[in-house]
Amino acid sequence: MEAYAPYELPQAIDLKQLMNKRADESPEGVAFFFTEDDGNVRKVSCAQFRDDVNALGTYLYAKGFRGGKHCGIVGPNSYEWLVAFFALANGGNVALPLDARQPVENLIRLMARGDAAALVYSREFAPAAPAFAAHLSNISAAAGEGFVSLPMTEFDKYLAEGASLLAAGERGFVEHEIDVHALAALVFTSGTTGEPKGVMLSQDNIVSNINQACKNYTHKGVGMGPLPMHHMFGLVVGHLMVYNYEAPCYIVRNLRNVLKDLQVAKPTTMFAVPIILETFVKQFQVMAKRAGTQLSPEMIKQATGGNLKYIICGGAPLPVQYVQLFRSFGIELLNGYGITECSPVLAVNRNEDYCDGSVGPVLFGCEVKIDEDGEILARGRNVMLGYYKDPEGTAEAMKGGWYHTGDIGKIEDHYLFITGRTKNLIITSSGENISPEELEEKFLTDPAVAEAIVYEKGGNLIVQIFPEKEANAPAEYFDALLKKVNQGEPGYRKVQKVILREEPFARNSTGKIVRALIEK
Amino acid sequence: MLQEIIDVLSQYTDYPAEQIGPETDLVEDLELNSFDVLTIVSDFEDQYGIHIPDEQIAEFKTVGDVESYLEKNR
Repeated sequence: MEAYAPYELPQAIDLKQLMNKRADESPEGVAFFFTEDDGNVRKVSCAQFRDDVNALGTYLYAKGFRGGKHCGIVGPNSYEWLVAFFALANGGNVALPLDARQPVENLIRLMARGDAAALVYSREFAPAAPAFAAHLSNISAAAGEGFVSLPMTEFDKYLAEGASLLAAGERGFVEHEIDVHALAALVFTSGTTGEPKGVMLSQDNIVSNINQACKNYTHKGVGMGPLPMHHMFGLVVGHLMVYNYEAPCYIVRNLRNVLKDLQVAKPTTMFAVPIILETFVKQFQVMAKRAGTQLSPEMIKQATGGNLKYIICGGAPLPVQYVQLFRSFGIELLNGYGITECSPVLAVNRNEDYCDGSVGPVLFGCEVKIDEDGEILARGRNVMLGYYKDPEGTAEAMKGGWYHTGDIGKIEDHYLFITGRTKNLIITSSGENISPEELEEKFLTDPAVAEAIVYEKGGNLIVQIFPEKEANAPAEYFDALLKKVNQGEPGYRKVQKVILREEPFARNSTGKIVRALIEK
Repeated sequence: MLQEIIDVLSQYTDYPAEQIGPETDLVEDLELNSFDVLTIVSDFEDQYGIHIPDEQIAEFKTVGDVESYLEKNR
């Protein structure tokens, strides 16, 4: 297919300007809409969104959030989540988007590592709020001022206070000068070893990626991204990019309602990860069985709200047969490729320039090359500032001035293909990155375990254990160990099965276990 | 109730209904992923007019777990 020119959209400079531009040009236009708990659909105009961000930001400004303050955000997707993110960013502060499915103790650990002295949290986390405050009040970031708890359930009060301050002439937040190259978001992601790494992104990283991605893919109508906002794919692509298209963005507040939400949102583009599409296909097949008919484009059109033309899929590899299946339904499924460290998108198939099996052309304004070992390297304004307080990890990842993705690939014609990984990272079909070493370490601390290797098979995590002979532990012992390791882990990180080995794992000449030789 | 749940799971997974029982593991035996479980449970919520909290859904391991929860709470 021939290469097409970039789509032209006005280029945003920073998040404040991104927000203000639409509010100025189309104040009554719908910025976001969503279904409330009572079933009513609430629409928020661009002007209302700006007013809410400015009110919350002004409230926070008065509380000392005047640049550089680190604040966690935790909770399911919501309008309040987005308002909090912009209120922090537009005041020059640093947001730590946190995975709401993680156990509280993990979140506390990440907050401490990220020097977060404040937390915005949804009602689900209200019972845990005292634990956050108790554990984080003593970290250096909170020294002197204490830990600040900001429940989203109190937002109405904060907005009213902020609005009063604005009405009284308080302009500090609204006029706060943004340093686009300063740290704006600290995003924790599983690395290949040990603890998750804190990816440092600036406003320039994020906004550049929005600009770059909008040149590759164009969109009109409603956009819907049922992906968690703590993921950069969910936040930047699924919500901020849609806002930049000057299009209404539907917020999916609970993934379990996504099929019903399609009927409300009626999107033209949906941003998804493979697990969502795999489940959709199963649901469509059930619908057909119940109706006593075959799957048809008309049935799929109705099930997806009537307007769906494109699905952008990223986060994890998706088999090409899904692309062909959705095409037979009249929906173009465009695979893309990204990584948190690149804010996140590096490549995506385009509306009129796509190649099945590839992740599309590299974004305009972003450089990608394949090194002599086949690894995909990236360079551009969207590439992270580095890993937080980890100069060694940063230097390793940024060798030679290029970000080393850890993925193996090739470029043919002008399309990027992902063919493997240099690292052991497990990428689930929901786009979660899991470090097997991190889970293996938990098994290896048990005296009855001599060797342990975790891998993925058929969408489930499995551990193979070579027991410590002297411990002489029965099989039931390892079932109990599995339960212990899984305790408190979110569903996608739970190991489903233990396989006990008779023989130790094969090792290479340097003594490392050869994962490729493991019979799965 | 158990048979209704089995029928839905059989439709969804193509596993023969007679091979599904209370001990059948949703993930290991029926090869459902976490999002499959969420959407199936969402179907049951509509059918039985109840709300099942997310944290409860994460605890469902077997068909019997789903059945006993629905029996208790419908």
